[in-house]
Amino acid sequence: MIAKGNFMNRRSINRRAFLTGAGTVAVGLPFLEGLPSRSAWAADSPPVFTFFIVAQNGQVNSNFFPSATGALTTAGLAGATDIATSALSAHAANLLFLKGINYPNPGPKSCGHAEANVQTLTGLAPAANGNTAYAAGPSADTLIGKALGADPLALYSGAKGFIAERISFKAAGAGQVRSADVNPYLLYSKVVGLAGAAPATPGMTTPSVDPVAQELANRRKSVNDLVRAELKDLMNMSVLSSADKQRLDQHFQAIRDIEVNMDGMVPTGAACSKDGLPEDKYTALKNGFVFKGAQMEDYVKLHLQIMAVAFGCNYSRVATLQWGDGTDGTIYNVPSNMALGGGGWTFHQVSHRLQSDSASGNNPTAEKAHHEIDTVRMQSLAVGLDAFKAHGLQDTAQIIWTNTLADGPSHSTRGVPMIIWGSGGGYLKQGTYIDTAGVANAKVLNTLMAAATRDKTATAPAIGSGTYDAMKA
Amino acid sequence: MTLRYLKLGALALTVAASACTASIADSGSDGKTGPGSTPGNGVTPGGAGSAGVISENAAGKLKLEGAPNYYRVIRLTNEQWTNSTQAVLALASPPTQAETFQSAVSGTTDFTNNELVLDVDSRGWSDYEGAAEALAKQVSSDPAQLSKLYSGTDGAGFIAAVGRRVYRRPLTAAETASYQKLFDMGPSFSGSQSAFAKGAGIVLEAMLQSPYFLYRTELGAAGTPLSGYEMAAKLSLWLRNTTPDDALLDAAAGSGKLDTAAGAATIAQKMLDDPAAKAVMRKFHGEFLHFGKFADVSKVGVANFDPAINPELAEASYLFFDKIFSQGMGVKDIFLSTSGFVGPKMAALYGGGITAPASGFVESPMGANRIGYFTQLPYLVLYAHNAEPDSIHRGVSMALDVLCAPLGPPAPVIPPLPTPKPGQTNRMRVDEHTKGCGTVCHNNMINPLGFAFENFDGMGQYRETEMNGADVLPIDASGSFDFVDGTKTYNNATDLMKVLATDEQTHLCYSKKLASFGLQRDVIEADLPLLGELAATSASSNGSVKQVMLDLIKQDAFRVRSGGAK
Repeated sequence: MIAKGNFMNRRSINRRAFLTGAGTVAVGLPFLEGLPSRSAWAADSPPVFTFFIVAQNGQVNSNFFPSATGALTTAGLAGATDIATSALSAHAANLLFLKGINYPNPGPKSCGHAEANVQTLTGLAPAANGNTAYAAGPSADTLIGKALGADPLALYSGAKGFIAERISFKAAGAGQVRSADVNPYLLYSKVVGLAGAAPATPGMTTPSVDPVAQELANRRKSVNDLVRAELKDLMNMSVLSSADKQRLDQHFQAIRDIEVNMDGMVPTGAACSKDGLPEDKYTALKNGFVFKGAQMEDYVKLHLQIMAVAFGCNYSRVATLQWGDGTDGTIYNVPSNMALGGGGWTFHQVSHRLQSDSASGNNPTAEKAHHEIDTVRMQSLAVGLDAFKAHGLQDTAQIIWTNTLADGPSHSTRGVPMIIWGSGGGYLKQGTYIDTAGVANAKVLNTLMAAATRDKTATAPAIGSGTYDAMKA
Repeated sequence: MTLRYLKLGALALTVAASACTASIADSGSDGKTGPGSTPGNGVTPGGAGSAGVISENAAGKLKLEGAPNYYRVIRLTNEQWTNSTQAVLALASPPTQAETFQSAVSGTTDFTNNELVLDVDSRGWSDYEGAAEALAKQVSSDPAQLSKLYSGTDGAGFIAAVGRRVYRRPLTAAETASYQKLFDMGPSFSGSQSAFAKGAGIVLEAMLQSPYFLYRTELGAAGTPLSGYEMAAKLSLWLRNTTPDDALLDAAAGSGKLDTAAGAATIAQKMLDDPAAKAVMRKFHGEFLHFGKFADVSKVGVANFDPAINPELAEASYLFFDKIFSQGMGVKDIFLSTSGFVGPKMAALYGGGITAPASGFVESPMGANRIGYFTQLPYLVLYAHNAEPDSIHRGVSMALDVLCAPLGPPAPVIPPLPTPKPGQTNRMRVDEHTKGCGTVCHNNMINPLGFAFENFDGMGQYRETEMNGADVLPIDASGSFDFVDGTKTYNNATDLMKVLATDEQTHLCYSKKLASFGLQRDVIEADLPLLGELAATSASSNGSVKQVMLDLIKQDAFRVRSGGAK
């Protein structure tokens, strides 16, 4: 038997999941079964799955949400064909639209994209501005992850290099942004073995202790003990700075022993299934992946669909997806963009209403193009929501789409929209559209974090204080 | 020396520059303090000596902001991990596991090997665990492969031989004992391998996850030189992107060798001639001058633009700087070289008798109107707006990348450049559009640099005149700029390149970038003496890039332990 250590360093994992990855693909970190009060398996408090999806470059607000707040219905949304969110009509009953959210800074001080990205999930003004802006505190996904004992997944669909991943922050300060995976294959390779796989040792009907799994777990424990001892020795060295020790401690805390159990911690049935997953599209990305803007929406859909499996199989509790980079070079083949001539403008230029990556204009055709792109993006989101629904997550998930900017040309962060699918464990309103009239995004994030951790008390993770009551069920 | 900061950020400026490129980052550091400023640790910022005298204005005219942590434990980059793993496991080809590792965040530091972006979190640990297990299994299940690591079959010998390579130094007695204990578990494992192979397997798994493998360490007392082993690791990982080989580890043993400046420089000299160093410097120049942006070049309504030229522009740039480095050239040659690399689609744009093969690249003279990298097609096509020169971004990129000049933040909403009025050249309309900036931004800091390139259109083609409607207008590419060492004037891009080739600020800026890459940290005001030393070398007749790197290696900043706040 493996001795139970600090529960935060113990990973309880289903034998099937463990053996699926051992020695070939890293199993990664299925949800850490470490906090009994928040156990996944307490009948009256199933886990809540949180997914923050952050788009870039704003949207055409006049044609985004319905013209009136209030109840959302499938018929109503479907009939409003002039708005981008009409594409989500099939999911009306599980949607919560929030209009008018404000970030701490109303607009850019130096680099609007980077600074707005930093504020989106932290709810805090940046600690530093400019294109290398960084956060003044951890982002909501990090806080949720800390509370639940599971690190967030970070996904990204965009080019690396300039204003690339910039929404998930481990802590305040420079160098704390979480690196994100661009290639959808990476998460697929870790998760797909969990979904619908047969037991690793066929013929075992009533396994008590699987010797293969146990040997592997023991072996890993021995290696981990050696590595932890070395890290501890390093951390005890007086020559190291506090930053060195913090870094080594992060590494130390990341090491997990395995307690292999025979229980079905991995859900079965439709929840944890790869039915409908376009597996050939993932495997086609296995080797030599290079992000191409022309495939932006395809990659996003793949990210969304595999996240549905990841949540359905209880592989992850919290994740982020950044949809595009700050100077998005994708050229969308929508009618109005093609009408702009010359093969179309980049999305970033469209959002500026001028064929420029710096100046802003007011070209009406560019505004139409932006609305058409918004619609394409909502169609992609709908594909993702279909997958989340197919995995039965509507009562346990909160899939949150928002934008880093309220408005493209001005780079304003006053009046940012948010779309939430799923009730977050019954905590959130459904089928409703609310005008928040300028609520601070920190309060919205606090509400989502309370849902994610099933903690409606003052001990829930929070940025500042206060929640947004109007969005609660 | 009185150091002044010219703070531009307080001014509200209407500038037509990219909101996210012409920016100053308000870092958490005041930029002035470094480990050398901490009383009592005995380290002199920038190293010994006073050979590098720099102009008093330097601090105010150079962007020297950042937030270095001076880590003493610096994680290997993914490339270093791949190469090091291949080396210690004696694999015929590089392992592929790192292709699925999380990659360093880009865009928040000058280079992706910066200490700030190299950590191990849960995802990273999981990557390393999986890779270590897979590779250990691969090697230990192949007796022939295992024998390449160690020809014997005793655990103690295996641990000592492999451990030295993995840890980049001999193991201590305690470490050896820990690994022996692991090795002795071997016979208890299932499977048909030999007891030796099983023991070796678990030892390899642990070694590849050890912090002494995953991090390069500098663990001695502050103010003392790195040990021979520590210097061997630092040099090998920087200049060859891999772990020290057995010969280097042998050379590192004992004192009076790699722990001296001369000893380190001798070893480094040989490494700089290794093909691996050329690959390392290719990455340096690519990140320094943003060659990744070539992939996204797009133009609207430009008949002679074919997106298929984008990879040619990138590779031509890499080849130019490959030559600068590998042939012992320096910063001056970046600005004065009269040849460049031409691919098939580039040749037609160059014209003037320049030809290229149907595939591949040829080195070609560039003609009388082009000297240096920045008057060649790649740079000019990148910083352009469709078929027109983008004077503002050319000016911004020169200011930020070549001169490390601090620019003020742009206005939040930048109005578009208007269509030129009758009789107006591009320069005239940009001047008129940006005149509201006053004397401290566009007029002095950006436009003068950008206008020098007016003779090159948006496809990088040379012109003496430009058209506005039916009007043929003469081009004015003259300007002046207030450099660190004073104001200098020029008539056109060629003149500007000659000025930049010898200007103190150019050499300081390149030195700053190189130091940041070599030291793997932000370079701040406290490093000015170091930059002065390096810039003096760079500007000298002996000023090759390799020589500047050798000088950096001899400096205390590179070879003496410092560390951050406790």
